Amino acid sequence: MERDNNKVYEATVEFGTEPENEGFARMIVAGFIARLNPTLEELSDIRTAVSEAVTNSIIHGYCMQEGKIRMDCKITGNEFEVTVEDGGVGIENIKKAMEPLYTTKPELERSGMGFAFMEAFMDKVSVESTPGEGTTVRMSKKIAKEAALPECMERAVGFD
Amino acid sequence: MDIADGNMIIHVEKEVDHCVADKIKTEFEKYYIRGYVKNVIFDMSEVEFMDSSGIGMIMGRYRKMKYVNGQVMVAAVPENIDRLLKMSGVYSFVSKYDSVIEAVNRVNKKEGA
Repeated sequence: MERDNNKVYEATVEFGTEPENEGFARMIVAGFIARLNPTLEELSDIRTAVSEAVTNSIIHGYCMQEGKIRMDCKITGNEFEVTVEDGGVGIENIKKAMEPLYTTKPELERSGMGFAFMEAFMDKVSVESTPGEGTTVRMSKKIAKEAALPECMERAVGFD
Repeated sequence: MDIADGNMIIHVEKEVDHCVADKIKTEFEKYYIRGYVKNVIFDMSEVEFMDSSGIGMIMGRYRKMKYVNGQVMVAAVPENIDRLLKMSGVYSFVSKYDSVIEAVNRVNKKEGA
């Protein structure tokens, strides 16, 4: 069976900083990756990671003030890639921000686990930020790695 | 949310994000500032999704309850949520029970003793 590993799908959405948009972003991503038939765990991982990135933009990037967040989703073969971009305050020290349990907003009871979850649930996470200009979080994850199995089995049967 | 004998049982919604976590905190605060809350039990049985805002919500309640010598417990935690709680070290402060009834019994027994 031939698998078209180069097929590319893309979607871009832009939304405001209303906290309800965190749920909206998760819905979009879940719908977008449905074509890759992710397992429930993969789906949950991706929804959590996206929720973290979008929440960061709303709470930290824009400090709950008005602003626009852009989310680009892309599928290449069986790899899902998402970019969450804001034009907010930016991050002074990215390394520090990514440390588990570190938060600049303890008064809002932020757990400081946002980036740790993104890193735990996605294959790759990268952050670019310019103070005063904004932050871009890029994450990717390969879906249905086990989908390669039937191919191997086919080959095994072929050799027989 | 119910309160019986100072035990506040919070029935957590399906999707716990920043939005829902803030709603729960506000609701909790109304009873907490009046001194009505002795212990907090999070009923997680309905939860399908949670992000780090949910962790902040649980840790935050733990900090508040420490001031009044109260306990925070989680009950009926689904597997995928359990993973998040383990990863964030929540279980070093908060104990887990299979059901809300079990958690209530445990806390009542402790207070009776």
